[in-house]
Amino acid sequence: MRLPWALLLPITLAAWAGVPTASEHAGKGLDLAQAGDLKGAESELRRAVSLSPANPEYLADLGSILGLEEKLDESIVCLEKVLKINPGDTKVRRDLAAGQWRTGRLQAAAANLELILKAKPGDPPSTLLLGMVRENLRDYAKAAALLGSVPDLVNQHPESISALARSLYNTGQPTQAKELLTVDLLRHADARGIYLGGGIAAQAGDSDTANSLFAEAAKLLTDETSRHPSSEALNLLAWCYYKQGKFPETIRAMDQAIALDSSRDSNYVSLGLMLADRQMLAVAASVAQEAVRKAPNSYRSHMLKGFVEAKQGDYAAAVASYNRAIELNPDSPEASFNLARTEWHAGMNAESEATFEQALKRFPQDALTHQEYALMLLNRAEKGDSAAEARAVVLLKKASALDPSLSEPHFQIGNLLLQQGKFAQSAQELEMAAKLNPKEAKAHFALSRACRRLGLSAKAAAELAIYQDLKSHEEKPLEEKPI
Amino acid sequence: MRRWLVLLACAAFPAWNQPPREIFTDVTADAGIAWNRFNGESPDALLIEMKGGGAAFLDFDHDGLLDVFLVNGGDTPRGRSATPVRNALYRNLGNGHFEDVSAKAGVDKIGFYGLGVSSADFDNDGYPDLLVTGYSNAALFHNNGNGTFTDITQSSGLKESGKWATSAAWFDFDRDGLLDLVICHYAKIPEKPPHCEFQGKPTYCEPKSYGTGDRLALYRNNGNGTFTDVSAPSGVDKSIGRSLGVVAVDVNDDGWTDLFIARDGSPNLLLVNQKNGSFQDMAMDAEVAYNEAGAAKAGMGIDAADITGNGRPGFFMTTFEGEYHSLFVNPGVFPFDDWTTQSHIARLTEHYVGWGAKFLDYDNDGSMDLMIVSGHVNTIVEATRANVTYKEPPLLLRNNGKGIFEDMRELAGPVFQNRYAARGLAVGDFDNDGDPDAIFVCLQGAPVLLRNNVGQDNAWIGLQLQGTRSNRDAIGSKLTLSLPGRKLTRWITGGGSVFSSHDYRVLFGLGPKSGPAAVNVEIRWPNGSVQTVSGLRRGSYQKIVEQSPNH
Repeated sequence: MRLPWALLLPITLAAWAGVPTASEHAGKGLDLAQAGDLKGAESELRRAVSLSPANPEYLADLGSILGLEEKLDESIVCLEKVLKINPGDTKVRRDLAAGQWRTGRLQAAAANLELILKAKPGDPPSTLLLGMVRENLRDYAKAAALLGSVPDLVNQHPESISALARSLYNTGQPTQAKELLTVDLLRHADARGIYLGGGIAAQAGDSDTANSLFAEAAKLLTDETSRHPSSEALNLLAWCYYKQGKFPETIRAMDQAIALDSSRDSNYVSLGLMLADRQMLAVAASVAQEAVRKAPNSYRSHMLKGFVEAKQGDYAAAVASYNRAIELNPDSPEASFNLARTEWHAGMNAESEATFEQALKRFPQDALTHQEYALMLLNRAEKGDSAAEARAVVLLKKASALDPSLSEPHFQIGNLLLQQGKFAQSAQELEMAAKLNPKEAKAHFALSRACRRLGLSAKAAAELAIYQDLKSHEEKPLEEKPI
Repeated sequence: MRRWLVLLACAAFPAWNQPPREIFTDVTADAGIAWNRFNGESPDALLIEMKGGGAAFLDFDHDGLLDVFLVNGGDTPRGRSATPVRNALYRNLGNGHFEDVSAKAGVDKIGFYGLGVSSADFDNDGYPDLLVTGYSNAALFHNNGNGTFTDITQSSGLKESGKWATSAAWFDFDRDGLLDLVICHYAKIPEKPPHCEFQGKPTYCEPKSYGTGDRLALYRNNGNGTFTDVSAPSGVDKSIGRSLGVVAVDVNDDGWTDLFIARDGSPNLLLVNQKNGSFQDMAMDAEVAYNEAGAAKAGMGIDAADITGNGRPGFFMTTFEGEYHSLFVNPGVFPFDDWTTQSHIARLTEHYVGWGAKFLDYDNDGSMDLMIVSGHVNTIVEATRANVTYKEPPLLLRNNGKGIFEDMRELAGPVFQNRYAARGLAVGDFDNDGDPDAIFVCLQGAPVLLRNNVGQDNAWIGLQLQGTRSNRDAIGSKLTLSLPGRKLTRWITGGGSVFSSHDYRVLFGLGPKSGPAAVNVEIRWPNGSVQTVSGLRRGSYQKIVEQSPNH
């Protein structure tokens, strides 16, 4: 086949001029990548793409390298271009789906993986990835089926073992979940993975399994840190102790972690969060102060400070902390909506609204920004602003579309429908909220109310019983929190 | 000529040129009430320091004039008063002045930190007695009928020693004609009080720091000056929680008095009288236990009244700022309707930490309005919030008759523009002019006695019921007054507001004076018997005695 003359022209001209061709740049880029020089590889592949922008191979290679460098947004753009040229490229589509999954674009990832599996039914890597995506979407039944169909692949990664275990817990298969965590996961002897599994068991209310996993992770980390003490490992060890309720050991491990690396902001952030969780807010506040003193340019330290201050009800101080966090990391939607929410609590209503509006413009794809703004507007609506309610509903629906795993939008819309006497629609929304976050007591409470109004007494009683059971676990024994 | 017309108009309609009268006037100083409350505020920031105190309107000397009783706090380990801490009993002299008779009456001193008061004639001798609640005890004072009281706590059988007693209500749960007593308890007395700081300074810890709470106590009146603790057999002690407010009223119109208990961060209780000496909590069925997210609000003050004119008692409960106070309309079946938002209560109360609250028809238009007193608990909250203050103004909310409320701040008088750290609120017509007056107590310092100036603009009738087979105060009675095209329903409730006790007489606001000169009232007495009284002349208080069965 003859290439069109116009396409050949740059190659010809480049060769004539003695300048490397696109092909040469691409080849060099791949060599550099193999040698571990990702930055160099990226640079070469960019040149190749600039010389031959329609070449799917170069674009795919550049997309892969960018993915390896965690430049996921750019990687996605490259891979999407490839698929426009060559929609049947399964590998590229899978890479694209992986990037979308990692950047939280779960629906897009799922759609791409479904396409692959339609073309190649049972493709193991795509099945694994789709299982992970479904688990993230809290579609636990599908996730359990998908992940359960590729056990060999699942068993290779602690993360996928944990994802399958979570899916099994949430589909009423706790025995299988427990076995997966206590046998397959432990086989990896990976403290971080085991800690993650412990968190999943704890979330499912399987405290025996959780405690044994946290203990195992702690054991591994104790061995590791006795041989090669590291601040990062001691930090994780502290979390393992904390999850087991061993507070003195937690503090000791955190002290050691800080002693090993007093400049590491994550140590202060961990300690501060633990103390705040135990309502020891005065101490948490002093840890946050220390975090900011040691790492004045740490976004996370200022976020911790703002969090503790807001929890103490010191909203003016929290506003200042979140403002500083935004200065340090303007790309954080979390800092923005926390600032807006805190401004609202502080009575700075106009500022709060402006912050939310800016955040919406800056982070149009961030579901939580939409959700938090909606909650503020609903608060206004309760005081008679009907326009605020309409806007809140739009934002809640957008939040739900952006992140279908969020339960809060369904809860809020369900409650609004309940107030409006639309009981059947309300029950649907609340059912979804309870499904997405089965451990959230309020969804079951509201669903019980809706069912009662629909005359579904048995269902109402069952939901109320779930609510009461969840509520009974909420009481914390130690709370010395200012009013 | 034009100028003359203007002058003529001004002369003919002088009211046009006068500023509207303030609805309530602070008459504390004129009345001679000079007592101050001491709350023992200290660096320990003990929660009791910000939890009291109460006020009561009662006619202790049976002279037809409401007197005032005020509960003091007390010393705390590091919060000592320079002068002795004492309660106050002010005798109403009938000329706008009050006389301090506390010491003479023997009710000025109690051996514990005082929080609340509940007054009623528990022995049916015609003289109201006094129960004072506190930390960590309660005291029962029997009115001797000669201007003095006797402390009969020891012999009465009340077992309140070691308890954190807050509000109490007298009511006849078993319809034997004797007033029984329910006492709210806040929490177990902590061995070591929790310590909290805000911006590096000691501040009050949130209620949960004091544990999950304590049980209610119910005492059955034996009719001989003693009481039997029936908390367990009656079932009122089943639920543990931080109880602050109580109101006793017949919720389901079955003729038996029920209880609504407002609890602080614990689910509220709606204890429905089972007519066999026991109660069942129906708060979940009524959907008044929690907010719509299943979270318990910080319930403090509670009161009951017919809010929408539907003839059934609805409820109002004060809560913490940011939560909105709650308004529940009773449709006659469970669940109740939560009208917090549609009644405008949400927007009117959002920034308030509400304590005492009482329904009252201040303008005698026939609709039950609301008075609420408030005050935050964080003394330096203003340093961090633009929309909340430590001291807060009282609220006077006018009901349009359909359960929609409007803030009357602009017209209510200077007190409603000022800010207070207020707690207990009591309502009663101390000047017998046919409209409800009020008094509220502040954490530290002087109380505020409010005289109503506007109720007389409308027609009214006051009824003083005297039970014969029922309890003498007729607590638990339901009264229905018929007007053309309208029925007004009132109850003589036990308790109500927080820490406080009220005038048991019933005031009916009848609207414009052009209405009928006489009215009929149907009374369902606490024992269930119904009596109709016709031709009652408006514009005065009328005494109605319960008829004997063969009458």
